[in-house]
Amino acid sequence: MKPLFIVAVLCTALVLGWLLLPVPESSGPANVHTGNATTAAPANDFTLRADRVFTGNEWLEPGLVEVREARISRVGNDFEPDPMLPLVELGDRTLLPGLIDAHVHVWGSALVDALNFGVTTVLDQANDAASIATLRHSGMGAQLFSSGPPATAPGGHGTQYGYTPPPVSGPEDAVGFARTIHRLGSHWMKIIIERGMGNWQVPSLDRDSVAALVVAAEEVGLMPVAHVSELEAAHWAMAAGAHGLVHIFADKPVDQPLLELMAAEDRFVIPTLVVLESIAGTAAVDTDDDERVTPWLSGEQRNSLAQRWPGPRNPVLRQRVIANTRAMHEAGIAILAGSDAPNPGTAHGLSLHHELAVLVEAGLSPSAALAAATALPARFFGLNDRGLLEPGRRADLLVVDGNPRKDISATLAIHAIWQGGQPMARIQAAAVTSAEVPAHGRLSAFRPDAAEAGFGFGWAETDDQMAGGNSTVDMQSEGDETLAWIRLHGEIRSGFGWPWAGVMFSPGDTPMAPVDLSAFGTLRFQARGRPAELRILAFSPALGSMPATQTVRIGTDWQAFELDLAGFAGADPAAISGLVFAAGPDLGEFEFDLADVHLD
Amino acid sequence: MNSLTDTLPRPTFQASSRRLVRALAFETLAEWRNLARMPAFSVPTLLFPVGFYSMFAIVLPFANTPEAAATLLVNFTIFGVFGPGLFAFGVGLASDRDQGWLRLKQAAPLPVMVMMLARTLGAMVFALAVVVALFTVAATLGGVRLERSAWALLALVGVLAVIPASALGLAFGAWLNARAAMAIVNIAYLGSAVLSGLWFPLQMMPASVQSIAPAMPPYHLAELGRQAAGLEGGGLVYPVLWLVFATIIAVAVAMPGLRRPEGKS
Repeated sequence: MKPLFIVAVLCTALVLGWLLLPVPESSGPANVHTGNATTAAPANDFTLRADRVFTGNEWLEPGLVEVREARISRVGNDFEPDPMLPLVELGDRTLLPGLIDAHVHVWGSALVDALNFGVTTVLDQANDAASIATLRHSGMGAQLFSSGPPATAPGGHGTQYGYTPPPVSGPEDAVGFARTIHRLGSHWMKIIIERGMGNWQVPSLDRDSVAALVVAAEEVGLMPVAHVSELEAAHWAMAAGAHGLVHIFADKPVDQPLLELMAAEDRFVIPTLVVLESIAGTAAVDTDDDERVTPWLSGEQRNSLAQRWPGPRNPVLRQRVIANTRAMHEAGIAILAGSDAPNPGTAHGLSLHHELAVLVEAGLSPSAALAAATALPARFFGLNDRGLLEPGRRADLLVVDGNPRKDISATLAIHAIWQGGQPMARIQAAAVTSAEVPAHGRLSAFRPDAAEAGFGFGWAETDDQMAGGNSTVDMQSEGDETLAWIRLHGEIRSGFGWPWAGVMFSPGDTPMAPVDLSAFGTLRFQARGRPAELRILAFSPALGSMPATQTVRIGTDWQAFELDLAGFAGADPAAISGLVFAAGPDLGEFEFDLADVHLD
Repeated sequence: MNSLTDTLPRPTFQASSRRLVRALAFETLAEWRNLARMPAFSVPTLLFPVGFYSMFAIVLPFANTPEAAATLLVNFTIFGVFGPGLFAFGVGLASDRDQGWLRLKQAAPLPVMVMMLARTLGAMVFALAVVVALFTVAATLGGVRLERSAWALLALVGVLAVIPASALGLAFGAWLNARAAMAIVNIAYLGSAVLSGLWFPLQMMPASVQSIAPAMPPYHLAELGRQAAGLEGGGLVYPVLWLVFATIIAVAVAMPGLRRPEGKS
C-alpha cells in the first residue's frame, strides 16, 4: 500500500499544480492565437467619452469606452464611468477602432508610417518570410500579419521583388508549397493569377494549380486568397474556393454568376481602388497641400506618393473598377479596405484614408467604408482580438476631429491614437540638419593605418545584418606614403531581399544625419578589386530608407571614376545622409579597394 | 548466431498479467532510480532545459509578446522531454551492454519487452519532472498564460514525446558502445534541437536549415506542442503519422543491433 500511497500523493500534487497554472486574464478569443499582440508595458486604464463612437458595426452618439490593461473592458452610452479611472472627454470628436489596411507590402519604415496615420494593423499580401519575421520582431509601429511568400508561377508576378517564393510549377507542387509557407509562419496564403497586361506579360498559375493550392491551403489551416486582374481569373479563384480577392479586376464588368457565387458563399474583395486609380493615372483624392497630412509624411511616404506608373491615362479603367466594386457592394459582398501601399502613387497609412474616400464614391456609406477598414478585415482574417470596440478586444483606438459619418475625409484629422491601450505620439517629419562641409570636399583622408575621413562622422562598415540579412564585411586600411586606401572584404549571403555589404560614409556628425552637399556636383574616387559591379548608394530623407543607386564596374587595376551627383535619382543634394560603396546583390565573396574619394 | 540469446532456450515466463504488471512497476521504479541516481543523466536532462529556457525567455528579451513567451515554453518543453528517452536508451543501453547488464537482462526470466517498457515509463516520469520544472518557471517568472486545457495537452505531448525519443535512443544504443554513444547522442540531441528551430526561430535560419528541419523529429513534436498550446492549427494527422513512422523505422534499425554479438560495435 505504501508505494500506492506515494503515487496517489504525487498525482494529487500534479493536479493541484495544474489547477494553479495561470490562464489568460480576459478571455479575448484569440489572445495567444493571433497575437504579436499585447505589449508588456504597464497597465494603462482609462475611460473615453466622445460625441460619436463607431464600434465597427454601429454608432453610439454619445458613447463611452473603458480600457483596462490594454483591453477594452466596457462599451456603451449609459454606464457610469468608474470614478477610480481617469475620464477623458473627447467632446465633438469621433472614436473609432484602430484602422486595418488589408493590402500592403511592408519594408523600411512602413509599420511606423502606417501607425502614424491611425492604421494600427496591416495585412501584408506577399513578402519575404525573413523580412516579415524581422519586422514582426521589431515590435515597432503597426502590428503585422502576412501571407509570406505568394504562390505564383516560376518567373510570374511576385518574383520580381528580390526574393524567390517557393516555386509552384503545377498542381503537384501545391501541398509542398502550403507546408513550406505554413512552416515559415504565413498567416494565410496568397495565390497570384496574373498574365500581365499590355507590354508587361508574365507566366501565370494555371487553373488546376489554383484549385490544388486552395485545397492544400485549407489542409494546413491557412486561408486561401487570390490576386486577380481579370474576370476569368476571379471565376477560377472563387470556383476553387478561395475566400477572397485581394484586388478588383479591371478587364470586364463583373457578371451575375460571380456576384451570386460570392454573395452566397460569404466571400470578400479588397478592391485596392487607390492603387488601381494610380495605375489609371486618375487619382481623385489629392492631399498634397492638406495640412492634416503633409506635416506627418515620412520621406518614404513622400517618395512613394510622388512616383508614377508608366503608361497613358486610362479613365475607363478607373470607371470600371469603381463600377465593379459598386456592383459587388450592392450584391451584398463584403468589401475590405486595402491600399496596396507602397506602390507608386500610394503611401502607407495615408492611402488607406484615400481608399475610404474612393469606396464612398463607389457607393459604400461612410459607415460601411469604416467597417471595411475595421470589423470586416478582422472578421475575415481571423483577427478576433481587434477590429471592434467590444469588451475583451485590444484597445487599438483612433480619435479624429469632426464627423466621418458625414464626411469620410474627417478620418485624416487625427487627434489621438492608442495601440494596445498605449497612447502613440505622432511623428513629424525629421528636419534637415545642416553641418559645415569643408570646401576641399574630400571624403577620404585615408592613412595606411587608419580610415580617416575629411569631415563628418566618417567611414564605417555596413551590411544587411541590420535588416535581418547575413552578409558580412571587414574593412582594413592599407597603402604607403604615396597612396593609402581601404580594403573591403566579405561575403554577400542570402537572408535579406536586397543583400548588401560594403562601407558607408556619413557626412553629418552622427550616422545618417542629413547634410547639404549641393555645393558639389561630382563624386570622384578610385577603386579596384575582384572584377564585379560596385554599387554606390546615396541615402536622403527624400527617399526614405530606399537609396538611389549608381553602378560602376571595377577591375583588378586602379581606375578613376566620377559620378554626377544629379545621377542619384530622387536624392536631394541639399540633404544627403550617407553614401555607401557596396557589393551585391549577387551572392558570393567580394573584395574591393577604395581610395581618394572626394566631391567637386 | 553465437550470441547468448540465440543459443540459450528462451525462459518461458507463464505469468499472470497481474504479476507482469507488478514486475513492470518494480522495473519502472528501478529504472527511474537508476536514471535519477546517475548524475551524468539527471543533471543535464533536468537542468539544461530549465537553464536554457530561463536564459532565452527570462534573461534575454525574446519573450516580448504572449505568443513568443508561449512559443518559447513549447520549444524548450520539447527540448527537455526529448532528452530523457534519448539518453536512457541511447547511452543507458550502450553502457548496459558494455557492463554486461544487457546480457544478464536478456537471460533473466523477464521479457525484454517489459524491460524496454519499464525504461520508457521511467523516462516518461523523468520527462514529467522536466515538464513540472519548466511549467513552474514559465508560470512564475516567464509570464506564460495558457488555457487550462492547453497546459494539460502540452504536458501530455511532452510525456508522449518520450516514445519516439526512446525509439531513436534505442537505435543509437543498439549499435554504439558506451563512450561513442555519450558523444554521438549528445550531438544528435543538441543538433536536432537547433536544426528543428527549438532555440532560434526557423525563419531566421538559413534556407538550408529550413529545408532540413522537417527531417528532425523535434520539429514535428514542436508542431504538436504549438497546437496543444493553442498557438496554431494545422491538424494532428501529418506530424503524428510522421512520428509513428519514424518510431517504427528507428525500432527496425535497432533490432539487428540488439541481437548482434556482445561487445562488437
